[in-house]
Amino acid sequence: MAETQTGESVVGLKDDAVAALLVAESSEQLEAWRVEFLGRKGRLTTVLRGLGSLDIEQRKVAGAAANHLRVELETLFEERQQQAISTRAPAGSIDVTLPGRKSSLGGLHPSTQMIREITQAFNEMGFQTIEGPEIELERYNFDLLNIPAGHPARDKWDTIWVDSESRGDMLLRTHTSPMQARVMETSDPPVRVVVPGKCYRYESTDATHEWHFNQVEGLAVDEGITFADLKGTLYEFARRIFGASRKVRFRCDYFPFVEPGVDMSIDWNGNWIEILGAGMVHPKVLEGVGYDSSKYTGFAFGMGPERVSMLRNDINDIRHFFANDLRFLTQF
Amino acid sequence: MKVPVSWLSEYVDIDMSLDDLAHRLTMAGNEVTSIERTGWVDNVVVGLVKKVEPHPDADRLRLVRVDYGNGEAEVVCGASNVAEGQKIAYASIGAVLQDAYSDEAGKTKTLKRSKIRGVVSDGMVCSVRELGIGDDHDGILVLDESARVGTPIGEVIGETVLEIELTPNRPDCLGIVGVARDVAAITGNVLQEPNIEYPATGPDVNDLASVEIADPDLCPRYTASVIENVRIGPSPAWLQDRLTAIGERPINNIVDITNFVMFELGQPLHAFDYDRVVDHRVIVRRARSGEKLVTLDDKERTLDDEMLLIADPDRGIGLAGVMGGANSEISDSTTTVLLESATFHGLNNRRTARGLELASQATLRFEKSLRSGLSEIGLRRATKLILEIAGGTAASGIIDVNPGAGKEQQSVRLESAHLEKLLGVELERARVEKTLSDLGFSLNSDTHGWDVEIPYWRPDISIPQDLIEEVARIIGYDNLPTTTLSGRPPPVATST
Repeated sequence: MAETQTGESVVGLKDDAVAALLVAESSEQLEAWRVEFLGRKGRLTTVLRGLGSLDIEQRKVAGAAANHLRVELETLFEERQQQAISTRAPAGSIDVTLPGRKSSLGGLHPSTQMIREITQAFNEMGFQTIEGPEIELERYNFDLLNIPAGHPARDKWDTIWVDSESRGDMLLRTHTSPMQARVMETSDPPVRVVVPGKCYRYESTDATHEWHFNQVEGLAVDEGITFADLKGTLYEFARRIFGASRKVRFRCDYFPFVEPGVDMSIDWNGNWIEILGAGMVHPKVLEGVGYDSSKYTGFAFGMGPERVSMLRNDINDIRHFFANDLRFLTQF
Repeated sequence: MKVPVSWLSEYVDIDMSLDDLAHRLTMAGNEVTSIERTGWVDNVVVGLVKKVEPHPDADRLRLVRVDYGNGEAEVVCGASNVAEGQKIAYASIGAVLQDAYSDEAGKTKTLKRSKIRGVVSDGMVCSVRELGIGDDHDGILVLDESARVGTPIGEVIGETVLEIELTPNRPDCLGIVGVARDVAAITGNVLQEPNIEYPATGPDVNDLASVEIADPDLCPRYTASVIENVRIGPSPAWLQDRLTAIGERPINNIVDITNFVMFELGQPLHAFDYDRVVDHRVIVRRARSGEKLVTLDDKERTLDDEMLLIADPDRGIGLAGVMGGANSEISDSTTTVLLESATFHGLNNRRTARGLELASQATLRFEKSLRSGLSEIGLRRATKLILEIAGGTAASGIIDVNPGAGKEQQSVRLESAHLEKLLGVELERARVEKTLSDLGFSLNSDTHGWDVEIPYWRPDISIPQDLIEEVARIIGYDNLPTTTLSGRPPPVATST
């Protein structure tokens, strides 16, 4: 008995409510309608409260119907309210002389700005900017760079591998260096390129480590390129980015794909901070792409634009770059 | 890698300030990340105990008269080992010492003049713990008799440790001698190589033990010696100090010597209890899949058939180049030592250690594919030290199974034109030769360049560019010229 009453009530209630809403015009009438049907003691609320007396199966059916109706009525009510406001607004109630809301302009991400500045410096020295794939093959990321499987130096690059059914040799590139091999494979010397791009490492993050970050790679290969050219080119880069008075030093370091290997550091408040790794391209890398290593020499380098930006802008945590916090991003 | 300066100085004179040395090492590729000093405590000097008398009012305290060079002081002392004539560490009022009674590490206290049971104590005689160089607080530190009264204590007990961040191509610098070679090249001073000569007075080693390499691809060389009638015991203080300074725990004289030589020369060694090796026969072979071995850490390891095992005819006795087996380890009852110094395949060793999650100091070195010449040097050095420290008699000769003989690259040809072409500067021949010689390379020179012998400690040298880097890094990259790129840059591609 009770269930039939409630069931009928829902259907009847809907008809009543829709009809009454159509004739409500003023905000007072609309409010009265809301109180009658949707209010705390309104008719629909009463129906919903009555559900408690039903047994479980019937309560499910009736409850669903009543709830559905509630959503429907609320939607209709809002539409009607909007309609009423828009048709009712008398001319002159809006001050058309008020200034419009300013839409905020986006800006370039600080990483992008730094990448552009770095690549620009090298572009002016004859280096072309190119880009490469972020999903890379093991062959380019490691093997062709003189880092065979099992090489202890692979410990330096904790790798995120791509889980693929077809092949097990795909990874997210751990550095931009694979583009060295890709560029040389497809073009003959002379080569002068810079390669900005995203890199990924499987490592925990802290103030100086991120699991994803940018690098800018550089490569110059030709007949007669020397270690002195490497130093001169990178000095010029440092001069442009950090100013002429900044002290720069070159020291010996090790990367499997160069020999001799170089670490370039700059003086920052009395501390030497490494900003890039470099070196003369290893003959195995040249031979791996079919270059004659007795004829051609070259140098390569790689740096982190976030790191450069951190130094120049006194940023104490690399994670700010990727936190998408406008308070940080809008400062650049 | 921790490099105590006193240890480094055993092999080479350091005639520049440590800051300068650290800078030069860093520029040459071995980055010194910190210089840590221990045992340098202000207001503590070497003192001489002139007189020890009982405290008038306390049985366990003494009144000690100390000559500290600039005068004498009367100190109340609770240590039972204090005696007249000793050289001790005397702390005067104001010295900042470690608080020996605090559980909190690094907590210090400033020494004040105070009355102890009615007698004023004008300073203190210090224990090892109070000086911050160890844990011992059972008595005072007694210094060597040769210590001069009044000398700042740091000059006697102070240690300075260089922390060096090594690159993976330089396993030679995982031994202090390797670092000393770089220092020799930097300073131009002569390297004093460790002595490896010893009297071999025992029976022919081949009558005592034998070695057979079943898998020469994974073990190009295995050398061994036998030392009979050794006395196992704690190491002498100097050896314990050496190991403690680099953060290693002393165990017993034999094990300490193998560790010492590993940190001195970079060659890992292993000592077996000779009597626990069945038939005194060592077989180097791949493990059988599923074969088990209990390693020195008392864990049972299940091996696969790519892991290299040191075995006797009955069972495994060690995981080659990773960790020894518990069944053949040196114990207090050991009387004869079978000493192993071998060369193992780098990648295979690394794979085994990773597979078993058994990172060891040995693997840190072996995984970098050491040259086989180093194994014999390490063996002779450790044998000599065992004779000196643990006594006994060394067998005549060494066992040397060397299936890899002749397979290693022996020399690199360096053309002077190549050097000039790569560096962009012409270097004087004499300078190139001196730099390489100072690093320990032997050269045969002719009009166009040099045939350079690859020394046993440098597995990273195989092509001329490696030698060019050696020259450049010791001269200093900052001292090489700087030019800008010449030639036409390649045409700029139009945007695609």
